[in-house]
Amino acid sequence: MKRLVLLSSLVLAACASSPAAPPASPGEVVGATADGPSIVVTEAMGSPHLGDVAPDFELPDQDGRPVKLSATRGSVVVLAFVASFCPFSRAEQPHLAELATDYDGKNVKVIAIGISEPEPDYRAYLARVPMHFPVLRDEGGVVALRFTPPGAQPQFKDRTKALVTSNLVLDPEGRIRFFSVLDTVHFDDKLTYVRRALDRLLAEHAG
Amino acid sequence: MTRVFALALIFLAACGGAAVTVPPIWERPGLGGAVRPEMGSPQPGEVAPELALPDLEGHPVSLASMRGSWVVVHFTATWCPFCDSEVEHLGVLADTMAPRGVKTVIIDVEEDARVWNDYAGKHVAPSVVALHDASGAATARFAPARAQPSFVDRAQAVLDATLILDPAGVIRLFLLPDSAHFDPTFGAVRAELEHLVPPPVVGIAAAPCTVAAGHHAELGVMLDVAPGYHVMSDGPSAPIYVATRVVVDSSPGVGAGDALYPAPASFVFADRTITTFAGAVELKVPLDVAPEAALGARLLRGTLRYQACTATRCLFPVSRTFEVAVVIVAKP
Repeated sequence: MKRLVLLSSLVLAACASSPAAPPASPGEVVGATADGPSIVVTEAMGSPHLGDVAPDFELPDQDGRPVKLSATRGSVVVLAFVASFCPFSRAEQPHLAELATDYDGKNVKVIAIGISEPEPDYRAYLARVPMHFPVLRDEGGVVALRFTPPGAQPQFKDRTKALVTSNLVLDPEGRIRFFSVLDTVHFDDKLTYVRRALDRLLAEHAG
Repeated sequence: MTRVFALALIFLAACGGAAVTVPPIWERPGLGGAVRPEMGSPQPGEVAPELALPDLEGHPVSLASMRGSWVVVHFTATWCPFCDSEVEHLGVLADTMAPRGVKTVIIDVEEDARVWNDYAGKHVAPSVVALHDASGAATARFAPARAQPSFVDRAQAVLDATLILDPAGVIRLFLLPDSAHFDPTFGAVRAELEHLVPPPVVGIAAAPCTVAAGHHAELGVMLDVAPGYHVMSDGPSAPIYVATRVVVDSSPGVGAGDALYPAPASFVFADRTITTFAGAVELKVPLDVAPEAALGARLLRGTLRYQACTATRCLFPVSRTFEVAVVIVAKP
């Protein structure tokens, strides 16, 4: 090992390369099961997490009208953090639109938040699939950052992107009842787990 | 024949009835993103698809030209937060593995060339070969047919993937991103390389050298002989021994002289004295730069020949090549 270090330090010094960061410490991971996605934001990742009241925000929709989260109290809310650059987000997009249609009239509000991207990219995302619900513009990822628990992708250089393709379900009191972060290996493009969480919540409130 | 069978049975019984099941690679730590057989081709064990893509100067570079070396291939995009958090660590991996002859390639997928060139200039280490796949067509051929089946754009299915190719171009490791166990330092890839490409008994590293036109300089070449081994000195004590020899090839305007070796260690074996090198061996190669030599950086090629031995046995003699950067600057 000493030999390796000796050799590599020689080469490193010569090439003036960048320093190494400490190794990864992934947040708590629940194995992918039939009941939930593999990356659930739990207390171990920090706030906000399951059970917390979601931070309030106000952002403009595709027509420039302000949408305030706290104004949706009384409804079940699906919050989807999206980005046009992310292929996972693009793959989810038609399923998100379909979900909104399927739950229309069931006291469910769907809100997508486009994280930190240039206006033309945001417009291109809107043009790909008709979205009959608010797709908000979060310039600079300011709102996304307030929703990002410290333990979600702690190794990301750009913290505003930790929640890209993340989905939340809020109950009528605004509490987070479902919160998943993208799992690339068990990618749930059809939003099966979001739908399951919705059905559970709707059944709870019907009873 | 019956005896052989009986023996075989005894052996089988001795090994225990419980079959040892090796867990699939994706169940091993850090390898959760490993491509699985059901995803289709290309798979580990298959020859990687060929590609030829422009580097940062616009010169085409092919994977075929790297046959004979182990190669690490990593697909990236500047907007991808996983990729962006890894890019500097890929340089560290390249620097660590280059002395073992491993080449490291990064391929930018479907982005504007100016965006990529600007980013690569800031974040990609010089030891990494930086290529650009503007259309994504070459990258798409690396996407196993049923990996991320919901992705219409197939090149995106292997974004952030990392492969290890052996000297015959066969895929030996194929990792797709695993966001649930994200390690930007390529820990699992480095661990696989340690296993697949162990450090040679004699390591070689040559420090880049800057010299003014019309001047002389000495190029430092460091050999690192593994503990427990020695190599013969440059002037071996018997004709049958293979002398350690470092030769740097001259290039136009740069003359490389005979290497200067340190004093060897000697030990007595039977009735003769044997002279050897062990541990860290630092030698110098004199460079003579002509006044009219072209300015700028160039790579000089060198050859190292040696035979490594322990106290009781010798390995086959080995010849290895290495490269060293020399920068020629204007006369002061």
